[in-house]
Amino acid sequence: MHLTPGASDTLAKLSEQDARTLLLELGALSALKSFDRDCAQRYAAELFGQRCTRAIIRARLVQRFGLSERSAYRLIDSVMQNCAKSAHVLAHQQRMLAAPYS
Amino acid sequence: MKTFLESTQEQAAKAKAIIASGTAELPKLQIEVNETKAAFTPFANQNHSSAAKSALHTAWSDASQALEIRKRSISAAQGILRDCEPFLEAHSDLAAARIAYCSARETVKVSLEEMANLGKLRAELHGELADLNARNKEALAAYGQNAITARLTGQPAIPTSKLIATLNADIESRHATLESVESMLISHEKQREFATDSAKQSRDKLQFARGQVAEIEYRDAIASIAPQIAVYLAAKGYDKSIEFAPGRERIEAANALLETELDQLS
Repeated sequence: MHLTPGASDTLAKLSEQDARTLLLELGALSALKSFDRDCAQRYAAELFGQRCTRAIIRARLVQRFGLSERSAYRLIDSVMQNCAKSAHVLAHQQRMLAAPYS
Repeated sequence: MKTFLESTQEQAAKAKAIIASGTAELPKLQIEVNETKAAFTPFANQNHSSAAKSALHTAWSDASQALEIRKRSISAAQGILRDCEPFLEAHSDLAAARIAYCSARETVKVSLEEMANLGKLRAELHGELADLNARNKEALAAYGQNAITARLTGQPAIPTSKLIATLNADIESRHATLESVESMLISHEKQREFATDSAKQSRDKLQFARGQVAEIEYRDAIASIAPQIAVYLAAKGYDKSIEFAPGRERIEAANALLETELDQLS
């Protein structure tokens, strides 16, 4: 069972511990795994936004979510690739807003 | 005494009123011109002059003149309004230009910081790739050695190790991330260039608005010393060394100079 983006956002409004407890009580173990991954991705994106180095982000992910170094790096890779896509879209939108008729 | 801005506002309001009333009157005046012209035209080719012909011609000329005068007054009022407008908007233009300039400078700063950070991440990725490639090379060498040993000892061919597949996947992922970093760098570079251009434009607008505000201050200041200037000019005549340039400090300096000169003259 994977979490839909909506469900993930709703769970994100709770504290991480409360969301985990809820999913455990529901017996949704695969959803719990998915939630953990979402949390780790959000955390990595937050650290990336704070201009942390990859090594620092990796160390924090390993420490906080108990990921292996390899998994942490792969997760950072996916976050950075998503950020690049969003940045590209955002930059395009900004240029269009600044010069709508050019 | 009215400030320069207040009198400019009054001038602008008067000019607007002249434009509005003049524009409203123009069709009526044009009709009058057309009618008087139409009335005069049948008599235009008659060789003899008569009182009626003369009166019709005068009526046509007067109507045409009234129309021309009205057009000229509208044009003059539009000119006055054009001159007034930059002063009327000077303070708000200055505030807007200041905000736009600060915002563009901030964007440039943030873009440069992001680019510096992405440069570090790119270096980190190159380091990781070098490490992964070295490990991959070692794993491939070990696999080759094992495969040769297996062949020599007559054992069946061994499959590729999981480590090699994992390393290859990691290398591919790093390359994809590196491409993303490069695209983000290009995006931020474009953003920086765009913001730099905006900052230049905003700086020009800011300087222009500052000039307008300084001129408002200058005109207010010059009005306050107008009586002394009048006395000075009456006593000594025009002197090119007195420079009436914008800026309250210069006005105050000129005022002090005038006071000294006037003391000496009296």
